[in-house]
Amino acid sequence: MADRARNQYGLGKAVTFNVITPMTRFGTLVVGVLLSIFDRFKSTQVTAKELAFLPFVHWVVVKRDSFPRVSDSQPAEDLHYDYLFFLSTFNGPWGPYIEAFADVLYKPLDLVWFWSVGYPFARPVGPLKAYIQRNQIESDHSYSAYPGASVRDVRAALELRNEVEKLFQNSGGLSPERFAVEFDRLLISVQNKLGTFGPV
Amino acid sequence: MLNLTNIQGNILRGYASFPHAQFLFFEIQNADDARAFIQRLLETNAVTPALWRAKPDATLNIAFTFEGLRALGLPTESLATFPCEFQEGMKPRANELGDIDESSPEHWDDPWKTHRVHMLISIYGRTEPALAAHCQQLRDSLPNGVQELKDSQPAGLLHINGEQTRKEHFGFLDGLSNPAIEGVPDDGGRDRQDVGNPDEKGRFRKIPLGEFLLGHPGEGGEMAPMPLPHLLAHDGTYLVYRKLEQDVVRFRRYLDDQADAFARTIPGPLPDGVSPQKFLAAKMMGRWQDGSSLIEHPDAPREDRRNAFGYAGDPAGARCPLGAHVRRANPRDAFGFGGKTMSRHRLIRRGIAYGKFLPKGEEQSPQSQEKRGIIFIALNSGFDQFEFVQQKWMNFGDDFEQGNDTDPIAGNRPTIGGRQSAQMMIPGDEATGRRPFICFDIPRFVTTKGGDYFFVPSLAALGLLASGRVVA
Ligand code: HEM
Repeated sequence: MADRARNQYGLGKAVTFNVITPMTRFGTLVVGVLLSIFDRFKSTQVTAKELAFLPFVHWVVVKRDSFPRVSDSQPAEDLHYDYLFFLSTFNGPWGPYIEAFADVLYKPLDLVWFWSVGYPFARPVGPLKAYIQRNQIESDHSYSAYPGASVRDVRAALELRNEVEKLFQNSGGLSPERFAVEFDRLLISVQNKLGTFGPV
Repeated sequence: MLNLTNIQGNILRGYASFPHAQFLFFEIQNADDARAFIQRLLETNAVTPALWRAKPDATLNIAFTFEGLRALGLPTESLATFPCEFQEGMKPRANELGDIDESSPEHWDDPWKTHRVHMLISIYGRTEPALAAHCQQLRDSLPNGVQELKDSQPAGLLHINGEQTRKEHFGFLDGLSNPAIEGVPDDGGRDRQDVGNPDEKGRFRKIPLGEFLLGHPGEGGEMAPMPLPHLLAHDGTYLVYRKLEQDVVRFRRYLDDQADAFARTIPGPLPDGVSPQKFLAAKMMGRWQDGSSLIEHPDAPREDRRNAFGYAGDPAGARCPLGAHVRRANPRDAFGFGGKTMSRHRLIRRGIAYGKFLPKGEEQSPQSQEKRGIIFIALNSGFDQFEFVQQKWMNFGDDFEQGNDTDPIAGNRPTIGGRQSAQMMIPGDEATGRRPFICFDIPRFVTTKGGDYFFVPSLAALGLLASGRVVA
């Protein structure tokens, strides 16, 4: 299993997490509508973003006749269900990730997963964990552009660059005293974005 | 229902009025001998429950490691139902727990280094003679098949300037904040105020019992995974025992080294009695040494031990830094989401100091070479409590926007770019004009010297273990 990327400095922070669950045709229809609603009304996405241990969450429906074949010589599969793919990466340990997800986002989880065969509801989280364990697909390979960066690291770095560039552009003709004031202002605005980072 | 006569003591309520302790470690070589020994302890009412009729002079409590349960003859069907962290024990989990470099198990003290302890017997006394007598009595009653492992661990409240105190070696009042638990009366300790988990409105609510005792509903109404049979697990809990050595000289020297640079970030004079060292130490801990919180008292200590404060009103850490020890160890409402992303990671702490306090000015004397630290004891119904706090909050900083930075007091010091170090941001305060200060190259102040995971059975479960008739 290789659910985290690794480079010469250590282990990446993002853990891959993929769950594939079967749905009936009716479920596919409902989930399609739900996903387009989530797409239009952003509140679920906003909450998911606030849960800053989630680099990425994605739901995809693949219908029973749409599974790709490597070549024409690969026989088409005769599947009895459509499949819901829950594709995500998270930072941190598996159990607490699922707990936090279920505690905070149980409504959208239940709405979308309800249509999957055998789904137990997000709360209590014990049966949900068992369900996920049964349907989780382990990764053979994972790639990460910045293995040493968590979601917070990336956000912090982007904001830091922004602020530093602003100071750089606006500080050209400043006297040393003014510059010190501006530098302090910069420092206080980015003070919680300066943690060390790198693979762990 | 809470049956305090079935639950062992020092779990839901601490032994605050028993200032002297001795931890004894045993190897079970003969299961029959060990079972008869436990049976005798039960028959003589030697095992102290959470509720006593008359306050004893000394208390006695028993806990077992996984190897201990196996040595007692527990059948495999039952052993297999214990959580894997417990089965493995602390030593093999050194990497996960950050017990690396000087903290790694090859540097631990005995018995931890050479043995797998089977049974822990903790004895606390109201006086030293009472403690000594109790230990002697216990040793006299040991059968051949239960061997004591050296060295037993003495511990006790520190004496500073001739006064007994609840301070730990770095000078901070300890044992202040523990979880407020549903159905459990407040600890009653003079300085203590238990604190629950935040709710949606930012108020504190009590924590369900199941977070700390097996067989009861916990957060979200859920039960922690229960080992089998139920009678064995019900009212039991897991005890995390860690011997954490504190380098007091290094801690004081670091504060001294940083004092001038830190003082330059502070506009105007410090209040009377507050040195830059004291202020910096408070910033690292999140409390003043006298226990008062930086949230309530950002400028000077006030001997105020009120504990029902939150961090939501201090989002940037102008008062209490985001990376301070107590803010990491229990983030309260700091993460938002009605506390839902922290509520399953609370710990009951029953730590107690060992070694003698190093008086100020003795940093060069032979006394400075003595060993001192904390016997860290935490109780929880599952390891996503202790191990999560240890891994994610002590030895990592992401949840607090501190990147990989570790806890300034208790964290490990991983090697980054070939250099062992850690840093901590002390955020500035726009209200007072204090500028941000970064503590660089924080050395390791705390080193792990041993420990293991123990299961603390209820009194009924001890009876079951003694009977040898455990069927999963
Ligand atoms: C030698 C190492 C340590 C020292 C000197 C130390 C010291 C302290 C002190 C002085 C307090 C504040 C007083 C109180 O609330 O009782 C405290 C609180 C706390 N510590 Fe530690 N500690 C150490 C290690 C740890 C470790 C390793 C953990 C967890 C894995 C931990 C978890 C906690 C918790 C949960 C609190 C209570 C926070 C709250 O509820 O506000 N401590 N510690």
